Amino acid sequence: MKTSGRPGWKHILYSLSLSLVIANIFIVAKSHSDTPNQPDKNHTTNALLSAIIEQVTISDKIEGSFEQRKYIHILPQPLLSKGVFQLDKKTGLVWQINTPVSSRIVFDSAGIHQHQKGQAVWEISNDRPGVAMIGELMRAALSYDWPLLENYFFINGSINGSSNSSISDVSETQGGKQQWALTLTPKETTLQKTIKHISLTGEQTLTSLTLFEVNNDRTEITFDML
Amino acid sequence: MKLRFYCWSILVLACAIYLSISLFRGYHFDSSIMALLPESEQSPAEVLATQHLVNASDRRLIFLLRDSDKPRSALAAKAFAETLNDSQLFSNIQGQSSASATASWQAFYQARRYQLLSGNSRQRLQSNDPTLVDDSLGRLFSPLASLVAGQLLDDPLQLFFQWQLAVIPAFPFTLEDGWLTRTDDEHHYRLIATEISGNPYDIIYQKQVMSTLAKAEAALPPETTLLSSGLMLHAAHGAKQAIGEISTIGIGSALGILLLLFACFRQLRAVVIAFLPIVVGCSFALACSLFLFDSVHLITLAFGAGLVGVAIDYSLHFLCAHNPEDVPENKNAENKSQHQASSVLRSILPSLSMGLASSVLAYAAQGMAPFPGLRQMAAFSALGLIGAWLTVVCWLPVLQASKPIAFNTALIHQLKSWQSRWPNIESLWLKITLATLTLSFATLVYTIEGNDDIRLLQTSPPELLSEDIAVQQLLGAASPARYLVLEGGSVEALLQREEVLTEKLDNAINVGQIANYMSTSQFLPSQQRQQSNHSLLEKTVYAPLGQLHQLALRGQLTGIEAPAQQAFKDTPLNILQLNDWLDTTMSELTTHLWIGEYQGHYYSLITLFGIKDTEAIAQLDQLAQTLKGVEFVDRIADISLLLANYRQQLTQWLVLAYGLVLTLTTLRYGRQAWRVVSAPALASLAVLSLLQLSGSPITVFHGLALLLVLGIGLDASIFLQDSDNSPYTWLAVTLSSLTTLLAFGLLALSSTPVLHYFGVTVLLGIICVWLLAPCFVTRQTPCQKGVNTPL
Repeated sequence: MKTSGRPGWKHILYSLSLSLVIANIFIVAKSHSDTPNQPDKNHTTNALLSAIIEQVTISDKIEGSFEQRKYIHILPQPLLSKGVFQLDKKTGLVWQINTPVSSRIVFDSAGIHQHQKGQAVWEISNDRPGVAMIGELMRAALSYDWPLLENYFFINGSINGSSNSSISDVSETQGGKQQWALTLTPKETTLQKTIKHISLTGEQTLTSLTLFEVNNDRTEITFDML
Repeated sequence: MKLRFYCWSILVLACAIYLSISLFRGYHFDSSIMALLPESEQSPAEVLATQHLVNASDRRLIFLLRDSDKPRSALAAKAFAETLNDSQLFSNIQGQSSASATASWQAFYQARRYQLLSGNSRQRLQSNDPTLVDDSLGRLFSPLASLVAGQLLDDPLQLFFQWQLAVIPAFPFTLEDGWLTRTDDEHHYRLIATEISGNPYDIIYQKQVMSTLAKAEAALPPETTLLSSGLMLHAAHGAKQAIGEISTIGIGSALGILLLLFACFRQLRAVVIAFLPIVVGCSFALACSLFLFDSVHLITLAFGAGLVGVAIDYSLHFLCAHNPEDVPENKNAENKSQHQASSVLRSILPSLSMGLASSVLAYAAQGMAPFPGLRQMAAFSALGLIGAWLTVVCWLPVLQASKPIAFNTALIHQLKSWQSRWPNIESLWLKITLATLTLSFATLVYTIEGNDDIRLLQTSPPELLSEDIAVQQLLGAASPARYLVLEGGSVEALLQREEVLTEKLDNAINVGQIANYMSTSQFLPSQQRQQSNHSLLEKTVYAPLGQLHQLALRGQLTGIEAPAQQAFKDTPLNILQLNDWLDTTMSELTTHLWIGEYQGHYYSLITLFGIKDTEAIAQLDQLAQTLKGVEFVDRIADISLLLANYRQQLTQWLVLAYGLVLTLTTLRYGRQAWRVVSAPALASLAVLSLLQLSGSPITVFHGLALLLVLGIGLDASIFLQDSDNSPYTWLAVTLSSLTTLLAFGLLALSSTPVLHYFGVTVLLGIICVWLLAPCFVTRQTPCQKGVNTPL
């Protein structure tokens, strides 16, 4: 084979990495973005979020029990599971399901790890943004990490049954347990394709998280903090 | 003589016309950094792989904007992308995006989901792993349900879901604020990927793109850092550097040489005559090179233009030999000056031709290097010298005819006095000094360990390279220079071969030798594999009392069993074919992996990510050797090995060249041959020793330059010896040494490593030759005359 005029190795340096990456981008980005207009994040949302922060119990370690109901349109009954969880800044969120099966899933900064009878059976790293998102969402919600949630969602809500615009009485009822509710709407079209919105409710702690999917299925998780 | 004059004139005119036409048409000199790289001995598969990879990426430019502040970085990215877009120089700019990758993958593969299994799932199904059902239920009853429950009937055990996760390449960038974004501990990175619309090597286009980039970068907020990567940036840098060096080195040496000639002759006509062979030689070389080579490299011009400075030798020897003092019989016969000029030519022609032959031989040796760039430089230089030689032989006797050139006599007298005091080998102390020096140089040279680092070939500045590496790390790119090439008799055979290999690579991942790999068969399993996956599912999951039944039972999901079974039955085996795959947009991701058919064979690549260490490299190489039709390509090692081989070969060549030259000169000088060979030989040893002492790497390029030292040193020695050490010859030798120094010495300032090594070696070599050559030649009357001349 004639060998003249052959490109050198340095070419490959770009070829390999770039073709991989670009293809990725082009697949991700087939159409041009039309990000929805961002509603002005007015100070009332900020006030609401800080009001919630003021009344919830913040600690490095959060633990409790949960009940999850997964409503699927093809099934008459929701899938009900129960178990305990533990959120630690270091170790991440440990999700221990006790019924109907026993399974332990850990959501941490590295990704998602599933253990079955003490043995790692399934693992997915955080460079799978679509999948890792679930873990990040759960951890952020349980630790009231509003800035992280605001990366991906527009946040609206109310406290004590009142809407955004009338929260002036928050300060008057200091220390009282007020109910609050937040609605998270995805900012990006990628998330919009699967998640319609997420609602969070709580008082002194987060009491429920419901994820409404585009196909009308929903996942309802209620928490009972220790 | 007239005939010679006219023939050469016509040829030169033809060259000039050809040259003007070519340059007027806007000839673009090649500035690609690849031209200097060697051609290694590659298998057809490897060659194809390389070409294939190159075609895929020439036009890509990637930018990352790094900022600690997120909203600011989004605005910066927007402005940056807009500037690029407005320039119309880019055919494709991707930064913001919207569509979901996963959704399109899922849609494409949905109908074939029962034919696709990850390696892990297949193993567990084959071994009838009872925990499989529990895992699936665990995920279904966890917050992950929102990802997997929707496919409960189509993919009850989440096997298709797991296949997607295993196969769809991880990409660490997510969409945030409409931009592909990656966040680490301190910074946010916004990704802007572009494709340029023009040729990355087109210098004019390069300039436009680079100035657009400069403008876009200047508009960034001060806190935002731009990281860029792309072949064109290197090409543009190479071109800029080469043009800069041509102008500085070329103009610098031309000016220096002109000044020297003026100092010596103090006469415009003499300077023109001296300079003419260079100009003609250069034009001749350029015209011939444009004709001979598809593209002429800018570095060739930088090297060649400086090198033709050697050509001035010929005219200087002609002018110096023309001095009346040397041809006393014609001293008072000005009307016979034309006859005189031709007799001068006749008298110096043997030395002139010997000089040309030795130089051209040296370049021929350089031309044997497997470096296309060096080959071109050698051809350019040899052609330039031949052109200069022809100019001296055909033109100068006619041009010189009118009247002889006067010399700067003060200079001649000064030279005579220096020459008389110059030490000669006949003296005992010089013998001892040179013997000691030779011995110590030889000892030093013996200790030299060659340097074959691939970075020697690097023409890009370290900043550009480290930025490249940073960008590629952030993108999570595949290993750039190490991959596997596979060959098969048919598409099916090739895919099956990939599957055998990837199973072994899975093991390599498990033991941590590599982080990941990417292969076509991941996206397009062989037909055999698709069939066996389907029948495996039929025998296990969808069998009566199979895993589906257990899942339904344990998860109290009895309602789903029948419809899930039905879904399986309703989806017949539908083999995914190569063309189906190549037709999808997703396959863009892997076009660099599938090379295709070539001469009845099929080829593909498997790229590797995160190769751990040299041990892992050795293991991969060994793995490839145990499998038929699989090659592990390590371009870095290949090129280093090639450099090492070539350096060793060159050392042998150099020794051989000295042997040849010694034989050749013995034919002419008999027992005095050592007098002409010693100077370049000792000079070469001295140069190597000096470089070794200064800690400079000794490379194949130093060896090549030593061939030039041999050629030039021999030239000087031959002239000195032939003229019996005449002061005029010494003047010519000194002048040509100085001009060579101006030409090559300035090359040492080049920031291109190859040119720098050449420059330094020749610089030192010529100084040594100039100092040493007079020591060795036979000292006769002119010397004694000098001693007796009162000054």
